[in-house]
Amino acid sequence: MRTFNFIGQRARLLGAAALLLGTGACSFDNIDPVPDPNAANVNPDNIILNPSPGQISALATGVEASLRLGHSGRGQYNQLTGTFGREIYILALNDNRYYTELLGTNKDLDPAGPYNDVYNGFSQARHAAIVFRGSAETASDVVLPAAQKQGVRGYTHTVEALAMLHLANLQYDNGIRLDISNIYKPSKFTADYKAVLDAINALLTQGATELAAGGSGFGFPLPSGYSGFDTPADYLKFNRALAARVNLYRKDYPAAQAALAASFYDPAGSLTVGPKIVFNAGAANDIGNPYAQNLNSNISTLITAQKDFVADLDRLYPGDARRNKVSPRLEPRTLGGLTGSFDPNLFTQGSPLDIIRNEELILIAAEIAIEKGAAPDVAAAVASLDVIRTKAGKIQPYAGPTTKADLEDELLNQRRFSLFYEGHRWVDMRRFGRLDQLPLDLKTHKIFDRMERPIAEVQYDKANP
Amino acid sequence: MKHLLLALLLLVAGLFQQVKAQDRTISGRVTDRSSGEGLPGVTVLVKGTQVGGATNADGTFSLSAPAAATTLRVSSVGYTAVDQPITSGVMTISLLSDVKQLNEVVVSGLATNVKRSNLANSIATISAKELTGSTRQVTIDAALNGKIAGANISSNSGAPGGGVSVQLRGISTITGESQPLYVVDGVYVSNDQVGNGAGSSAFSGASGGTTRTSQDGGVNRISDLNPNDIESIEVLKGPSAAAIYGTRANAGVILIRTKRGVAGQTRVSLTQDVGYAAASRLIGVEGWTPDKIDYFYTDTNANNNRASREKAALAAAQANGKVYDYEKEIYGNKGLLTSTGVTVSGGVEKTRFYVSASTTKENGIVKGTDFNRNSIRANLDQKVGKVLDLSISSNYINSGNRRGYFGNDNNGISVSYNLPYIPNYAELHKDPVTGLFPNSPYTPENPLAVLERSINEESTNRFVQAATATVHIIESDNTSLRFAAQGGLDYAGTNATVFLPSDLQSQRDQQNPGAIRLSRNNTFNTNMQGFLIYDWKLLDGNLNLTSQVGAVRLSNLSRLSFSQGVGLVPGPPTPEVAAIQTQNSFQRSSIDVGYVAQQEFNFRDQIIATAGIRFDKTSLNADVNKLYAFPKASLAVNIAKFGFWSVDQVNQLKLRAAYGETGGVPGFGATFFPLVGLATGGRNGYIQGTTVGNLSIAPETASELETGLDVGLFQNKILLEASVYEKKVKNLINTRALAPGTGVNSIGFFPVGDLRNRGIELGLTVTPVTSSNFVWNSTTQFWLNRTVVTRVAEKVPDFNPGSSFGSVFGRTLFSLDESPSRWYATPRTKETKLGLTRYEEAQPTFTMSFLNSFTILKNFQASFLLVWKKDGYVSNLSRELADEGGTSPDWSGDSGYRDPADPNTVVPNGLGPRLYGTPGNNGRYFIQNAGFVRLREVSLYYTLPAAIRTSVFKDYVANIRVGVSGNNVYTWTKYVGYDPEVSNFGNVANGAGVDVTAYPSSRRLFFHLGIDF
Repeated sequence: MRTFNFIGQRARLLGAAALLLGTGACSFDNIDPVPDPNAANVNPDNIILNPSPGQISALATGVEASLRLGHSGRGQYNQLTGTFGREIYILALNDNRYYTELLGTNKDLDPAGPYNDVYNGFSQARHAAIVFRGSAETASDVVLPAAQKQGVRGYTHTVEALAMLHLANLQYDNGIRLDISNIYKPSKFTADYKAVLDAINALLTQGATELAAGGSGFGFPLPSGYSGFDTPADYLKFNRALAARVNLYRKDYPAAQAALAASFYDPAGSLTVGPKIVFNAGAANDIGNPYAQNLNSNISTLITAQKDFVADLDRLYPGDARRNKVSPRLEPRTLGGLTGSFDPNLFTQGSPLDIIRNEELILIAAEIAIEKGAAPDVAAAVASLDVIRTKAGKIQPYAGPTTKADLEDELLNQRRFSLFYEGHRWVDMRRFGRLDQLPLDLKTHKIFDRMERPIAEVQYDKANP
Repeated sequence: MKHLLLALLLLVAGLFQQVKAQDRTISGRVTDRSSGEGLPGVTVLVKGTQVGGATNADGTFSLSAPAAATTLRVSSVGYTAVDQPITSGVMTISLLSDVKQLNEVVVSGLATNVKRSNLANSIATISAKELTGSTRQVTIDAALNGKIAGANISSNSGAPGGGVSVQLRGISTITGESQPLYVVDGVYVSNDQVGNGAGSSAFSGASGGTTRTSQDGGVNRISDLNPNDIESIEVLKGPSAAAIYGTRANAGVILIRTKRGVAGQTRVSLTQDVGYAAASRLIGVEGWTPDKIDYFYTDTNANNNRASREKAALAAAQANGKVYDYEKEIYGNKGLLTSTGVTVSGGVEKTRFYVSASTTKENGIVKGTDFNRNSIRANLDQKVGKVLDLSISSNYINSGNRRGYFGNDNNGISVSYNLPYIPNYAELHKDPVTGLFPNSPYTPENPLAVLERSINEESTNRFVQAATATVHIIESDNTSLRFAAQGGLDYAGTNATVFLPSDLQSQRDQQNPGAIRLSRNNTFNTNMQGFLIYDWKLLDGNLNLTSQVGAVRLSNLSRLSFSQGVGLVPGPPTPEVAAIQTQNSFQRSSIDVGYVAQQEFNFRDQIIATAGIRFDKTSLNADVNKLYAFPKASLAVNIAKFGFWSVDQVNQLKLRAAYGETGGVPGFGATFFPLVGLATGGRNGYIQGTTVGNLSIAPETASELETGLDVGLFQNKILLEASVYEKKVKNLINTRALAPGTGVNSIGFFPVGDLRNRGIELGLTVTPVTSSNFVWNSTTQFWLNRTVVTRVAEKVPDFNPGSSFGSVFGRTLFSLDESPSRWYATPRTKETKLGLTRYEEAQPTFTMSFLNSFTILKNFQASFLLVWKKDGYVSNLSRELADEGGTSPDWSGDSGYRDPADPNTVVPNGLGPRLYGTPGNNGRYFIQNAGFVRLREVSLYYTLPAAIRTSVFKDYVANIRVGVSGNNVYTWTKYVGYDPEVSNFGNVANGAGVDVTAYPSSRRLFFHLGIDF
């Protein structure tokens, strides 16, 4: 078998050596870093450094769009607050937690349940505003002059305050983190609703100052939902409207009144005026109104009005036009001992979602009139309430008793029907200490005054004391 | 690489050498000792040379050998090899079938092998006979189930084509799918489970995702491989065995060798299998009575007196004989299973070939669901002179499936999710006149309409090509040096269509009725390696040494895209006509490079030691050029081979220990800080995603120490293999949760901590009877694994490593000193870290398998495989749906619960605490024991005796075999659901399965016919 020859063997050795070296050279062992082929990136400080006008516009659009995140997905703000405030039921065939757990059958809410997504949605909006502002601060003065930087600051501080207000309403005395600018080291929870409202108010005030210095126009586009509010001066009116709401919650009625005066409050104007979140289901990366639902639909996650809505409206305000906010179902849905017989009839997928509108500002004016002084300013209060009664309800002016308690009852009823399924009822009843007056459909139900702090936050604080 | 190939060709040409003539003819016949039948394809070599060939179909052989040759080495997979002195005349050699082949070779490096008897690891080897010899499983991974100690295998769906999750030796990684690396003939093949979007929000909405989701119910790409082409499978279960595979081997490596030709007469084999699948079990459906309707519905004005209307509907249905069993109607069908295969193999000494073609079609138990696979394979081996061995393996596969809509759902599409809500008096059948399906008043969708009118299908074209070249540079008595080069590629292109017509009931209720998605997913993987292997001897030939050095390069590229449309008009399924059209594309790629060196020592087969190291780098790490080291070392001592050993009954006694390290790569994009698109008001924009990158991400690493004892008694009639291992995984990569209140939820890839798996694997193989008319082989395996988290990194919150899920249904927890597959759920308690009650473990307490095969009266072969999985809990939501829908079989039974306010009223099961709890939903209701005993495989074959065969077919037919077999024939379990072996949330890394009305698994029965020509 020893048939090999010396020359052949050496040639093979050399050849093999060359092969092995060959495998160790050229491109065989070269690895280049792979940049993200699928998406634009921020830098590791979570900003776009020295952004171009196009990047500024994209970031601003992202901030505007992010306000819908807490209204879409598995936890939708108006559905959750509507359930807690007994305005609607979420009769979800796909997940019974929405009509059991949320109504109190488990005694506690689940800090890990899917509906906690609402917390993430509004937190994302806060972060988006911070990323936009942080990036804009690094823009050259050519791309973004000083006044327009002020505009960005005022705009983003207002958006942040709005997102925080939604979070605070859900978390109540669990509180929220006030400073989230460092994602790796956010501030601890400020576990006090009142203190959080104070911080939101301060943020709105800061935003107002910045907007006032924001020049004649923003350095970025605002969508059509902000028509009439798309210059710094007009956007400031929106900022003040939010401040009126926040100060009402803070029970600082003089401040609320001052803010109202600087807002777009107009008792003689259209009730629907106000900035809106707009939707377009057909556009890439946009969605339709997440609360839109076909009438008589039998979809999995079906929203129906809570059973007392129509009964109470018919009893309190016969013939009220706001009865059109719901529509009777041909086939009611029964789940978990609840029967939903009325569909909410507020939105199609192209309808915008009001952020705050004149109708609420008029109700705020009424509330200030009732609560500001030692005794209610009956004339002012009834005047405001009558605007709502006649314009929104198409019913007769108020002729009932005018004690403070009676006026509060009337105010809360008007708020209930005027702002139905818009995230107010539960917050209002809590503000007035009346959660125990909300109806319980079943013995096993319970009224919550807040959502649980999400499990991820609890675990994070445990690991990062 | 082009110039390398050129160099190789030149080398080949230059090294071609003539072969010396030989001068003696030896002939004979090789038979099976138990049956006496001739054995085809047995390798017969002159001992110590490569001279020889293989037996013909009837077991005969004839070869020329050097005059000086004295001994023949006769070997075949599945039989104990023998050394037979060459005698004159026609030799007769009989082989004894060997259940544990101690002389088979097992991989020991990327380019070398070692005899099993010298192995220091417990490497499971599955032969073709064990894999497919009994019954025919449609996919390889399913066929492994119950046959490997240390492997937990579960299916994601009972739908045809499967979808299988394989977990070796506990939890190795908690990111993503954590499936083992599959290497087929040296090609790193894709086993991806790429979603087609059937579970995305536009379709069933099972997952919150809008693109590709883990709940799309896909098949694993390994299902493309035809199990009948497989010669053997080796399973490297842990790092001690798999270290040489480096940075991708944390979850283990499954090495698959396909069949190759053997020299000799050309063999033609034809196999035909026909069978059917039927549901393993139906849960049953409770009917309705007026009383039950009164329980279930009430009459109020608000609901238009629903109870009265339902009672009227029930009475009408009963009067007209229109009460249906929809469960049986949907799941009670028999699916036809057919598989046809032809193989042609043979060759001459220098050129051998194996060619096969097969076509497999499996219909599901649900109409309109199926799996099909057409596969062509050509394996070619060529020796060029004495110095060059070339082989190529080519495999083209066309596979496809239709899977319908089953499992979890949030949009009311899934057939199995709707079914529990449908009472038996509902009329859902198509109107024979109009051809229209009625609406279901009970569910968002009429499941019969979905079955007939929706589409969820995909088809894959796949090409797998391997090539190896070995150059023998030096061949002498004491040394040999060879260069082994290997290259491979794996391309798979999948087209998928998911479609819901706009006039389906559920779609008419949508804002934009009708949804269609056309997906195109391509993956392209390549691998190359080159090794120099040097065999040499020291100490007068008593010490054999094998040295090897080499380098490896892998590349992966995936391009995934789809176009989707919602808001359709009636017509063909195309997104073109949709009101809302969405495009998506996603690309990922990676390149790995590794360098390997290994040294093996073998002192007279008494002491065998191996040491090796691999250095790896990959583009998936933050530092793409940093090399990470993965060392290994092992020692085996064959005590029975030492001179002093005098216990004749113990013919093998081996002590072994092995240590090794492997890695797990970070996922693609670990260092990215992406922005996600978000548009409003007609303008496109973006916000930062909720996941940020990690600029210091490195591989997770696993180290394993395995020790064992192998004992062979009475000439291996009794073989015991015992192993214990401790596998530690360090710097496990997972998302690290940040405070979600910051708007950023997590760092996508972060070293979150360490865990440890400890386990025992025992295998006992006995041959209790070996008589001429009855041979019985029996293998019993037992294995268990315990996992515990040993470190949680600083600042890392405890997290849920499994499906993110509510506290009621059960969550798992990555927390110090706890198993990451332990369930936690309501009721709340202050006593545990999570504030939830601690439930049972998802991993089984232990698993046992009991494989027996019998040869009776030479011509009958029977076998059965029984698997016992002791405990192991899954979160099962299926019963809840039936309780809610009033259809669970025991719905009306007395729950025993009494309302304290009304203690005299019987509360039925379906309304009792198991549904609504006291108070509320309770994890106990969902977290259920999924232990079982299952008759996984059973078979009986009959080989036509030679006398009968030749009297009918003369010599045209060499062998005829007929048989019947069954798969999952019977299951003993207390589990309430269609199948205890389920995990329909995709491949969950920690193995904690979730059952949300998964497609029921089936029992399969076959008739087999095999003919060799």
